[in-house]
Amino acid sequence: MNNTTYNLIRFISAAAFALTLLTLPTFAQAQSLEVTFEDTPLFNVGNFLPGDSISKTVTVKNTSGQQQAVEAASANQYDEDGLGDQLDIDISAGGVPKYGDTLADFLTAGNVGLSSIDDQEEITYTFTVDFEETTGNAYQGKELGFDLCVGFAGGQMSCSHVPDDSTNGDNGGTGGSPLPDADGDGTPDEEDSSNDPTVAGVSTTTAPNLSSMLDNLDGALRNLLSGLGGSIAPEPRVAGAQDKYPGLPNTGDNSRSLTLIGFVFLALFSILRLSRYLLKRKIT
Amino acid sequence: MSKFRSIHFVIAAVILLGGLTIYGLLSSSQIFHTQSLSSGKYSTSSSAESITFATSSEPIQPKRLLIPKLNVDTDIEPVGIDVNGNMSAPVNWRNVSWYEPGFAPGDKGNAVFAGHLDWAGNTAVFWELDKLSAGDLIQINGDTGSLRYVVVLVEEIDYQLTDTASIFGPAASSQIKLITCDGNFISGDGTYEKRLVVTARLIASPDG
Repeated sequence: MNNTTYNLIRFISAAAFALTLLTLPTFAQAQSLEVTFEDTPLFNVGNFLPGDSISKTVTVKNTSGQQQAVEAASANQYDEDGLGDQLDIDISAGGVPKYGDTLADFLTAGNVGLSSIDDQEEITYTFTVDFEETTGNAYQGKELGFDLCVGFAGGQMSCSHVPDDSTNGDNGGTGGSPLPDADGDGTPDEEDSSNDPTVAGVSTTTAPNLSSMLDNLDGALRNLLSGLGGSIAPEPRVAGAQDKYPGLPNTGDNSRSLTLIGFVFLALFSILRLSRYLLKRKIT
Repeated sequence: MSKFRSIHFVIAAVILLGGLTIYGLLSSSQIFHTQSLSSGKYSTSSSAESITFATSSEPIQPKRLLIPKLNVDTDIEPVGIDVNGNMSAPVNWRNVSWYEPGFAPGDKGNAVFAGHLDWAGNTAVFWELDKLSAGDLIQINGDTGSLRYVVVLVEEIDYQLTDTASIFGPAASSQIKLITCDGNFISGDGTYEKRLVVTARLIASPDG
């Protein structure tokens, strides 16, 4: 193999690897489930104010060969300031509500059933977070965070930690509760190698490994909450208040002065012409 | 012939000097104003002190602005921002503009109005705004009622002020801000170097 061929193979390999990396954040595919995110990150919210609402969609396709039940859960929650009581989370599919509660309740609810999904069916879930309008100044500058986990009922619920370089730095650094434990063996699933289908022999049709998709989903939702925690400055919405104020108006063109100067020169010119005319007449 | 030329020069010089003198006189009030009001300086007159301020009131959609002291009684144009990101000036130089996306008169915040100083060779609606002082009354009429404000602050600010939250933002009570051009004209920028900002606070209506 000459150098040219070797370099070409290296180039193609690098390109393929880069393409894979680029594709992963927005589209993840496992053996039995495909998840497509509307945006990457799914939510990136700044300056979230009482009364504000944001919705994003996640599309799930079941390719497992049989009907499944989709569930969602949270992990690594931290909400020391009780901000979760002021935020509502609603999950719907096709305009039909699937789940709705305060974020605080969602964080402690464990696994939440969303809907069943037939084989080859594609469902778009809309995640909506609302900031309650009546929230007062007490919640200014407060933060909360959690990882979101999604999986099939009875299957593995695996949640990976979001890298600390998310929008708000190390939001997970406050500790939080253990990861969901779908199989009830007392070990958080991410740390529980028995749940790894490749190790434990769990059928991918009934317990698909969602870890790669969850990496994206919980990262996306984590970013939502990073946005909530890091960029949001909760304060009461006031009618007339703006996120950004305009510059000062330009209310003069100085044309009065310019006009005046114009008249001066016009008068000067006229008088000169008149004086020249009079002098000419005097000479003649 | 040289005698005639000399006469021409003398006449021209006299006219030019005369013109500049007239121009100076016409502009003198503005120049004096620039020098007499330092930024942030304000006072409250005895008449203002005797007035009961109100925190807020039912907001109104402003239609007309009245300043009795200046004989101003003009229409109000609701505006937004212009292509430069600034509050738009009124289209008609006889009117004032109101920054509609912001606060309305009566709201607990600053309702901002802008009027031209001069336009197309004319003195415009706020030509004499610098004559206002603390204690002067301003009235805003709307379809659903009228609100009266009293001047508490007259200040000059740089026209390039970037943080305008103090002008357009919330306030502890209902206020109005009247803005016009001030200072010297900067030909290169096509605008005046300063903005005159008159702040007036809502006063309680006589019936409570």
